[in-house]
Amino acid sequence: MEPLNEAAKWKDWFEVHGPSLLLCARQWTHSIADAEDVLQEAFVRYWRYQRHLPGNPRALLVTSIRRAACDQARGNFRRTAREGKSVEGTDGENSLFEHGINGDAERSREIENALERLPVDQREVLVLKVWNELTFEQIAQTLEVSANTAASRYRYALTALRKELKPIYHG
Amino acid sequence: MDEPLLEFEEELKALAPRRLESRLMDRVASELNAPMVVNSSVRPNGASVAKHFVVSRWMSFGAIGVAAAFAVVAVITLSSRNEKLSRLPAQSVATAKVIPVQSKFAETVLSDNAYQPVAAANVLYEMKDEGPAIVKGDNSERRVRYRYVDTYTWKNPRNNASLTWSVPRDEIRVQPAQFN
Repeated sequence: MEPLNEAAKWKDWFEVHGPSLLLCARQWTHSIADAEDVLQEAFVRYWRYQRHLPGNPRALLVTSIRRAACDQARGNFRRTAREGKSVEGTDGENSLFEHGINGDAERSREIENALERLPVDQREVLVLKVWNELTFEQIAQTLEVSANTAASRYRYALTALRKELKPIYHG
Repeated sequence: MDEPLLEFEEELKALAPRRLESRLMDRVASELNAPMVVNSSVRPNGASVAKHFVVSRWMSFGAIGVAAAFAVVAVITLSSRNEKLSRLPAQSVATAKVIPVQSKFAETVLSDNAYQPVAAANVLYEMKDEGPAIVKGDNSERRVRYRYVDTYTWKNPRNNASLTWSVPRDEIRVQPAQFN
C-alpha cells in the first residue's frame, strides 16, 4: 500500500479504503452515523499527526478507529437514541455492503444478516481480515489478543457463517 | 484452511463495503482544511505528552551533567596552574579566566533544542594567607585561602537563549612556606 505522503492524495486514498474502514468502525459503534464520526476523527488525526509514522497506514487507522470508538461509547449516545430503529436492521441506507454480489442482492443481504448474528469477537476479526486485509499479527495488536487467538476466531467465524448460509459456489 | 472455506472466504472478499457518503467526504475535507486547533478530538493523548515531558526533562539533566563535568575539568586545570604561584601576595587579588567550551561530544549528543555548554568562567577575587599550618613532618607550611566565583554558561543555539549559573567556591591550600 502506498504511503499517504501528499496532501492532495488524501481524497483518492480515502475513497478507496474508506468503505472498509467504515465497515470496521461500524463493528465498534451503534450506528452508521456514529461509525462515520469515529472514522472522520481517526482519519483526520491520522492525516495530521501520524501519516509520517512507519508501518501499515491501514493498521494504524484501524487502531485509531477502535480507540475513537471506545471514547465515543463512553461519552456519546445521542445518535444511538436518534437512530435506534436503524441499529437493528440492515436494510435501506444503513446496510453495510453494496447490495449486489455478482449481481445477487439477496445473497449479500443474507451474508450481512448472518454477520450481524456472529459473536462480536469473531465478527471483528473477520471484518479486519477480509475487508481490511490486515495480517493476524496486526489484528492481534489492534485487539490486544494473541495472533493465535485472532487466527482461531477467524476460522470459527468463517465456519459459523458458512454453516448459516445457503451455499452458492460449494456443496 | 480447507477448500470450501477458502472458496467462502473469496466470496466474502467479493462483497464490497458500502461507499462513503459525500457528506462524510465534505466533513473530512473541511476539517482538514480548517486551521489546526487543539481540541479534545485531535489532542495528543496524555501518555505521549507525559513521555515527551520526561524525555525533555532527561535531556535537560543530561545537558547539565555534561556541562558540570566539563566545568569540573576546567576548574581542576585552573587550580593546577594557580599552584605554580611562587609568592603569596598579602592583599586581595582578582583574576578571571574564561574557558570557551568546545565539546564535540556535547554538540553531537544533545538535540537541536537543548541547551549546550558554551563557557566556564573562573574568577579568583580573594587570596588570603591564613598563617602557619601544622602538618606532620618538619617542613614549614602555610595555609592559603583562595576565593572564587565559578560561572557556567549554557546556550540554546535555536533561539539564542542563555542560562548562566554562578556559584561561590572557597579553596584552601597548604603550601610550603618560603621565608627568604
